[in-house]
Amino acid sequence: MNTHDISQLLLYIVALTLFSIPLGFFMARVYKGEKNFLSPLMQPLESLTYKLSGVDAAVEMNWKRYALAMLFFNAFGLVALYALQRMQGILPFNPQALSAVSPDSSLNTAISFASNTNWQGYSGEQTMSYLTQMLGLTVQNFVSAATGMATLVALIRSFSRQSTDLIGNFWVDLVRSVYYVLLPLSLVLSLALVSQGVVQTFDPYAKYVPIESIKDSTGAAISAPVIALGPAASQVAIKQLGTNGGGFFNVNSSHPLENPTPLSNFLEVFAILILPAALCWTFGKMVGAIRQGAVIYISMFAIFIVALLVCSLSESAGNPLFHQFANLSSIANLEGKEVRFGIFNSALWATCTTVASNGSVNAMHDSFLPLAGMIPMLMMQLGEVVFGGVGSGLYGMIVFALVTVFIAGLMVGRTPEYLGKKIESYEVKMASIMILIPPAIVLLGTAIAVSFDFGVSSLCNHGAHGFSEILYAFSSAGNNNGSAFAGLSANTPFYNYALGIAMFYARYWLAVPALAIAGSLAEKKIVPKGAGTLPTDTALFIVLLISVVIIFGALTFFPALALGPIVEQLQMVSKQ
Amino acid sequence: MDDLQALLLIAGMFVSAFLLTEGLERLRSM
Repeated sequence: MNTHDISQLLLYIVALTLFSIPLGFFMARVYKGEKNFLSPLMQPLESLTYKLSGVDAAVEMNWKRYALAMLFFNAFGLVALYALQRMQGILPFNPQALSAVSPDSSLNTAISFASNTNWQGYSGEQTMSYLTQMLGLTVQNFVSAATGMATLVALIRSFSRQSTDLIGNFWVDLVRSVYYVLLPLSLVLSLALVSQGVVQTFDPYAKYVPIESIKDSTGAAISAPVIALGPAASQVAIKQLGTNGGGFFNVNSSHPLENPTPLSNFLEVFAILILPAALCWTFGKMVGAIRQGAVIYISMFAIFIVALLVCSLSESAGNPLFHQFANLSSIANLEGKEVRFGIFNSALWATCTTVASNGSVNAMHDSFLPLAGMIPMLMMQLGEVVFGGVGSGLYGMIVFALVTVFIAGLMVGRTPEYLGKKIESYEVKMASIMILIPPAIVLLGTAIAVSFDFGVSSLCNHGAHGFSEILYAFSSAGNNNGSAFAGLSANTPFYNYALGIAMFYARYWLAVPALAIAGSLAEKKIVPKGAGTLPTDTALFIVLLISVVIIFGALTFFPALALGPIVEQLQMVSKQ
Repeated sequence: MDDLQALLLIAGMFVSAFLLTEGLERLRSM
């Protein structure tokens, strides 16, 4: 890392912290239904939405009704997106006359975008019409992020309520997330990206005359090459802000029309973490203890910084096998990276996109050195709780906090309490479900894929690296990240179905227990702090929380990582 | 047929999520 990298890192950290605090407090006002500077504009729109959809905003729900509303809403969106892809060939806004998407790819993509994963087995510019991109994928980018935020807000409310089974109204939380947070931020970011050259047009793809002849992968000359265009900026903004990650173009944010300049790169990578970071402060504000939000923020931040440094330093050091050659002795690992962005920006993006469940990329993770490539994989395997998805990351981290107070309480004989709520067997059972489902999906899915021809036949590499490609794919889907390691041809019926199922269960079978915890906690009385209460706003608790997250992740995935990136690193070092 | 399979799979997965909701509610009252 040079001085420029360090100064950029400091700028990123300062900007993230400074912007996340007021944004977090603003969101707390929004979810409490308090007046804010957007109320004059959004309040009439919000009321009109409730009126048209027959929602009584004053009626709150118990956790089961809240969960059912969330599931029905997502089921509707998922089926609608599936149908849109299957019918895009006969629908408008399709200047390239793209045909219907295949059933298995449509299913995978519908689950992927509804579940906020945005795994993409397809190539955007060759597969999706403008209508599908806008009405299908972009809309799901908004509402899937809002679903995560609504689920989180219901859980947060349960800490400040007592003796009630009501945790809020799903439709109100959903609408407010979109109208007051996601839409305004996306509008501002879209305009900023357009100013940098991100394309936003309904024109057909641009034809051009190449200076040299261009050949396709079969060696045949391409007679009429085109440059893919489309309404990209509006999708890129929400893909980053909503921790969605699905690129408009196949190569995502390494495409010059999706991420053209260093400033657009900074804005996009900043947008990945801003909402998950801000929600920590929303949490603190809404539970009436900002220090509690700060503890979560610092815990996430500490893991993020260590991961970023390991990834960046590993890539900067370069491949040791090259160091025997005099002219390559000090070269960093630039394979698979945009030279416009360089090592640090690639490592920063890779770490941000995987600590958050974003999944967009500006470099190919498959080309990272084994140790650096393990970092994105490990960040996903920790359960996407280090910032994580918008809403889902924080409710995952709160669950880890519940487990931490439970374990710590048992170890020292103190009453397991968190924010005045007694943590009992039901909450720990729900937390166990939430913590165990993703690893089960990832490890079982990987085991099946590496055991049969339909799994390994999609690999471009064999040995440890090939294993890493499959492990990465299931880690991504099984934690709703969506980034791809590359090197795995995943647009096959097996991977489309297997990863689709993985994404579904990783999302909804975690959101439902999170709401069950909310329902349980809301009914409990808030007990005052006593001599036996473990303080959860101290440096000690930060250490405990980080330890629990790391130990769970490491114990679960170390054997799998040992077969992939760890053995690959050892092989590389041993050949020096 | 492929569409039917896909839609049945979606329906099956959501039914499992609805059943999970019901199951967790019953677990709480036990």
